Amino acid sequence: MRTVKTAMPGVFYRRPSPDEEPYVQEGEAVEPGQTIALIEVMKNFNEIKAEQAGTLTRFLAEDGDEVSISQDIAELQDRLPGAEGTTHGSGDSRDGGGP
Amino acid sequence: MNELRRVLVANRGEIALRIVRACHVAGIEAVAVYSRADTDAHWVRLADDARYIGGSPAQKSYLDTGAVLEAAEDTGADAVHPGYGFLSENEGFARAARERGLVFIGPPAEVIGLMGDKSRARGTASSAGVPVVPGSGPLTDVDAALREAETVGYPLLVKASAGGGGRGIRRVAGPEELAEVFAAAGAEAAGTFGDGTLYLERAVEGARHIEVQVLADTHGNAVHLFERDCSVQRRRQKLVEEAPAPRLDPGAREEAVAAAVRLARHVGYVGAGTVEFLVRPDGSVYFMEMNTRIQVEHPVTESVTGVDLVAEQLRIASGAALAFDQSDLTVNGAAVEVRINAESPENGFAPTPGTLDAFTVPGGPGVRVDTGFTAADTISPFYDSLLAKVVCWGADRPQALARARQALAELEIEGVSSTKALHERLLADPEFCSGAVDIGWLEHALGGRLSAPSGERSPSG
Repeated sequence: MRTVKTAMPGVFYRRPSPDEEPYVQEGEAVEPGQTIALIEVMKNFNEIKAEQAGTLTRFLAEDGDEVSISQDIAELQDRLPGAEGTTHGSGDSRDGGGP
Repeated sequence: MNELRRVLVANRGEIALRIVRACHVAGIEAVAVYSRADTDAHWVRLADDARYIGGSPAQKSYLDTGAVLEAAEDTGADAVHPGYGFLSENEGFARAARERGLVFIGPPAEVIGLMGDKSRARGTASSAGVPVVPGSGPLTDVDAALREAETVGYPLLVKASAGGGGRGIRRVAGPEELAEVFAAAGAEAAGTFGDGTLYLERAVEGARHIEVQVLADTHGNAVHLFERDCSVQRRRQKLVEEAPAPRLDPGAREEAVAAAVRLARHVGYVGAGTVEFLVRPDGSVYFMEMNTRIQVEHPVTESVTGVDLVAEQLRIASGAALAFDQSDLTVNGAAVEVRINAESPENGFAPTPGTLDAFTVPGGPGVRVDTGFTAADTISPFYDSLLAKVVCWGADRPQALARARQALAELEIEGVSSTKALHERLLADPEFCSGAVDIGWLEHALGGRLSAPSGERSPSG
């Protein structure tokens, strides 16, 4: 289990703007460089990006929360090899139908 | 008359302190509200009473209408002063305050609403006989746009009707570009704002930002307090403000101040307000918008007119008539304000929250420093980056600028980066000192003549 930390203090947001969907839902896979949240610092918005690939299992801060520097804001789990998009479907022949 | 005894200050930082001081000078008690981050702040300690209103993020405190109004009720305040930013131009807040029997120190809620909607404000100004930038009505069809563009004139801006804050704007140099830009802008506006309606506006280039301070009372009196020049901007954020505007065409000044008073009367304005204009090199004046609140840069006007604008706001809110008329007001000397922000110009103006390890402010004749902070305070990441306003008055502009240079040399800030060094370069720059720079000047100069000498890096930046 790894965590994503803040690089600066400020206000935490999970979505690009109040009317939009969150960048990432809990349980979704993320790629390196993918934006997962925003930190507002003195009216400037800074993106927090995932540094490594994995599954974002849980957010540790809520929209609008005050966060400090180096605070854990999300849990990231290594993705199991071959597990993309399936739930323990090891015997399912449809998964083997790739190119 | 509606004598004010206790005013709730619904703001923070330097403007909260400014209002607390004005209240005390007028014999009125001041009540501060504060977020978690502002516990023990200087302006909170100076207030007669204070209430905690919520967490550090502004949404949970200074923008929480319910919490602010509850604090007012709880402390027996009879009026609320919103300062600038936060709830100051929130029509709903002004209305809710009124409904609770509080005096809102500002214009009627309806006037806030009228001026807050960009396209309505443009129409209102136009019907008040105030010149607006030539433009079209709402458009959805490219053929209609091409026809309208002939009347509007090139270069022009394609703007999203539902846009704002500088978003959804594209520049078109000539008719050959319009069809393509119009289609792209329409698609973008539909995606971003949920409304693809556009309008055209002539691009006003090489213009200066000239704004006029007005005061209006509840008895139908309205005056202007002359103009301020706020052309030194980066990304629509002002960095330096001056009064009077240097080398401004007298005809343009005359037109702007008259138009500002006309608009204030037309909308039934009450209190202190600012009408912003663009002034082109040929002296033509165009309305931009009206700000229905006290502004950050109000001290430059105070310095040259001798009028305490916040004191006047309190008097007007108490129902008093203006104590002067237009003929009593004159401009004496010149004033310049530089905004010291906790930002690092050397790093793309990145904000730098932190602790003020050292903070020594300048003094001397004609030097005024408005700040909400003292040494050892924390500059929190939750609010804007304004650290201090250094306002210098002189018998003429060269003296005001010389005092500003001396003031900045005395100003000591450690622990956070700041715009101080940038202002020192600016105040030494011959183009700036010659006066009459336009709104595009600073961004251009930052890439060249005003860029930081190599090796100049803030220790904490």
